[in-house]
Amino acid sequence: MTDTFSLMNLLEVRNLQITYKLRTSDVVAVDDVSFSIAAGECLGVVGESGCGKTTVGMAIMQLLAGNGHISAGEILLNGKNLVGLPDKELRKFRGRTVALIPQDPMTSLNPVMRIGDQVVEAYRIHHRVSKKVAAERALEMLRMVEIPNAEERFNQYPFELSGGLRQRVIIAMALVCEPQLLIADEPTTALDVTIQAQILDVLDNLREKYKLAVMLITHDMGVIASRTDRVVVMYAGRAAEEASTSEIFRDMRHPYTRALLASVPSIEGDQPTRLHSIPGLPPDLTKPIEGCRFRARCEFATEECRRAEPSLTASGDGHRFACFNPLSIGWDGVRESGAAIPIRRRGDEILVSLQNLTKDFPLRAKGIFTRERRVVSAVSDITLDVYRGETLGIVGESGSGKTTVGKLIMGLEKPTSGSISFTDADPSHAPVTQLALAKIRQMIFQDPYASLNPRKRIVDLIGEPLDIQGTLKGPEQTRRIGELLDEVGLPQESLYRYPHELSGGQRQRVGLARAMALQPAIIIADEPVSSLDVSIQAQMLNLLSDLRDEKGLSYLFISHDLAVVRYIADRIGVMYLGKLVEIGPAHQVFTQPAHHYTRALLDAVPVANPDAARGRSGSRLGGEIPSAIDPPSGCRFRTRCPAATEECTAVEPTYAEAGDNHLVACHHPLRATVAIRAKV
Amino acid sequence: MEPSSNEVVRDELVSGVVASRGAGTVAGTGTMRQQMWRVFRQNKLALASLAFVVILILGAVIYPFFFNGLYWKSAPIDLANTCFNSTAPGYTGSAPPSAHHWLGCIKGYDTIGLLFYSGRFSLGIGFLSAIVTMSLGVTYGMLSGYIGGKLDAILMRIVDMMLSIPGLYLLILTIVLFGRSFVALTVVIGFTGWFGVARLMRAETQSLRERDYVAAAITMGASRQRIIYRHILPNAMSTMVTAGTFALGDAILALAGIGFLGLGLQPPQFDWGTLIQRGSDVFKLGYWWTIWPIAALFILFVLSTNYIGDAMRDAFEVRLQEQ
Repeated sequence: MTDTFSLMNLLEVRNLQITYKLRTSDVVAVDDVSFSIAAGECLGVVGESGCGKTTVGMAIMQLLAGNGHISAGEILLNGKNLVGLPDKELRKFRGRTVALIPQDPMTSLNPVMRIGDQVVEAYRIHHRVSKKVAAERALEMLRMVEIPNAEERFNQYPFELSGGLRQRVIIAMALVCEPQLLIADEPTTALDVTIQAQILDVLDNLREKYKLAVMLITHDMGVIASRTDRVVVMYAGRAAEEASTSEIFRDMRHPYTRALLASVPSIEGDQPTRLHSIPGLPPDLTKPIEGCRFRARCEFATEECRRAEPSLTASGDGHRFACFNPLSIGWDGVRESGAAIPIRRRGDEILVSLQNLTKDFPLRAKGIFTRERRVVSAVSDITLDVYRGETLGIVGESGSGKTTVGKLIMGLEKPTSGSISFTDADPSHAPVTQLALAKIRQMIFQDPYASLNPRKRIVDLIGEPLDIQGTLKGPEQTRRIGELLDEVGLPQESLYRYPHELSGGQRQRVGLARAMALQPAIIIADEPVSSLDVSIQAQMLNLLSDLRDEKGLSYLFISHDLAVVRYIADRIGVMYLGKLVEIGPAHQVFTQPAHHYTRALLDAVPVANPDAARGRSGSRLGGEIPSAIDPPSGCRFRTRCPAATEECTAVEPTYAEAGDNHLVACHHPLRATVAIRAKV
Repeated sequence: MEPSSNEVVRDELVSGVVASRGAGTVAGTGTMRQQMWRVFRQNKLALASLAFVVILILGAVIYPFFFNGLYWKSAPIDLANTCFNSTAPGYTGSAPPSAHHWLGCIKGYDTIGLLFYSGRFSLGIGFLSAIVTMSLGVTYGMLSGYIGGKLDAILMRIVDMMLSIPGLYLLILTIVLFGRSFVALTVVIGFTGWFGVARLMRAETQSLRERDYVAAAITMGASRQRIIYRHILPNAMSTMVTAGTFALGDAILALAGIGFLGLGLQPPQFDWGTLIQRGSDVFKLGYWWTIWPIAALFILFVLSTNYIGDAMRDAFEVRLQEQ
């Protein structure tokens, strides 16, 4: 091959093959993967779930799950092969030369040990020093990862720390022995965008300081674009393409890389374009695959692709790809397939109206002997209308109360004060019951695994709302269920399957079919695509927008992902700590935000464009979302706001008009506003 | 040859409507019962256990009919009168294992026959009282967990109270009060064993009622009964099965404990506990074969129920069926 395998490489992975033993068969999860990382380099490994990217990272640490083993290939660290080394030898590498940042900061720390002691322990495994010396070193590390008040935090337990702070502690533990290589497995996936930006900044700074090599495993093309030097794109256990970051975004050659990029919605540009979605599903690795793995989903597939599997071939400067029909160089077709989506005008008829909606959760459950007066202010004084046929997006960090708003509208929680009214609700049916409202509002849930009863067949799941309402029975019901399956793009044979026989994306379609069974006017979608891979996410988003246009549906679309909301929503509401801080037409909120929080959220989103990503300003929203038990006085955002003044502490801002139908609650908005008399 | 799944996907994609919306193919793996049996039979230990328990039950039901039969040439159990009188002339009553009596004889009776005969009562009371335990515990726990609030607090304090009374004391007290008949023992053992099950089911119900699919059912306007019967109960199955097998083992052990203390069934009915008690009276005198078959049976039976419970829990665990 090429001279990428040279002596100066810190890590060389050669023809790695990893096999997992399942209950009934063997699966080759990673096959013939080769790459290298030079000292100080940041290599991104990107791909959808199940493509083997985490498995490769774990194999380097030699920490594969019990049923997995390296069945072929070599892993050379500083020229020494780690494969087959006894555990005693391996322990010398782990933590010392190679360190790992695992995915979930909430479960990766020992809950009964002080965080300082955990860093001390990590240091003393490889250094025979006194506890005092190690503690000094640990404290230095905690400062290095920018933990505020490191001395005090040193003696705290993990439960006292937020997710972002925990991830910093984990980074401190990983780097305390000054390793040469850091494997970061989706280090920010569980975190909010603003915290993600902070953590990635910390990693960047440390990388520069220690000349650290990083293997950054992620599914997020935006993170890849802004943080890495080189990229390996993996698909179904094999490397599809490898190139420098700037080159892969400019001259991608593999159709999968292009499809992956084109299926991610963007926050850039004036107007979203229709997403390119990769049809079908990744192949089932337990079954033999003939030819190219991507063939079944590739629009350029030919007879040749069926006959043989393409191997990685080099083209020019370290750019390698595995494809018989590569895209031509300089072909700028990432978004060519997507037609611009016209800006939809919102209708005038109000469908759902929220008036001063407030929800406080008592801190402890009611019992006989317990009385708790303190409350969590989850939703505070929200007034908004959803119009017929429009999609209202609600964005905000976790803890902003957006999910609670959805649950309140669905009647899954009862408001502490305020009201929700539905125009379609028949006033003669007073009080309006869940049963009657089910025909007006329905919900799709975030987790397609948890929202379908695992003991019921698809036909029973989709038929359940029809059963409960008693509207359709027998063969008529079956016919309707068949229609619904067609509408959501599921094959008819899935009718008598169980949810566990379907993929995540397919299950989410079942959830959608169930929600549509009663032909509701509005569907509350709480993070409906955030647990799906990007290619499946694009399929789902296109399906949602098609159905909306066909049926005149309204959505209340709740998501933490600004780009997704941008893609689907006509209007956007931004929530912070229980308050609706800004609401307006999607294009206006995104291009000319009026609230400082909206601006900060937009700045924190990683953009899948290396040039734009690196040129963006370094202004970052500091700190983390405060506790909703005792929210800040005045404006709740003031503790993190760059423009906060005395006034913000004392007086809660009211809504002012920042444009047509564009309201903002801020004393010092980014755009000129006109005060309004009545509340909206 | 059948086309590979990839080809099927490709073909569908080319054809019409599905092309724009296709979610890929769905491979079927049979009905829920077939899938569960597939997982269950992978556990060979559980299969062996199941065979053992089935043989034991069949033996207990059928064997006593042939007890007086030709093959075992054993003294008959005289169900009408006292069962401990040997009627065979010149028969010493007890003998070590031989070709005719594979596990020996005890006081004139073939040991295998005795085990099967007493198994009728041990297994009968065991299964029936386990059913009592489970129905009480499941209903109580589910009610407490689903309704919650003050009712839950009161119901659970009652369980706490009952659990603070030593189990054996409670058993002996109730037997003294209600007598030692088959029915009384079944009811007593059933009624004193359900507190743990109730706690377990309460916890399970509390976690299940927070699931998204329950929320989905609520938003459709489903009634409380529908949610409990269609969404909570079927998903609590694996917990119930595990608890049920333990309840069976516990009931049989409790009966044995009572029998051992001499409070068990009265002759001519007798259970495994009575056998242990009688065997332990004489095994120190050299009648070693009086104790080990029944002791081995006990251990094997309780182990078997646990293994079967394990495998059934796996079979009910949907995620395992995917692999």
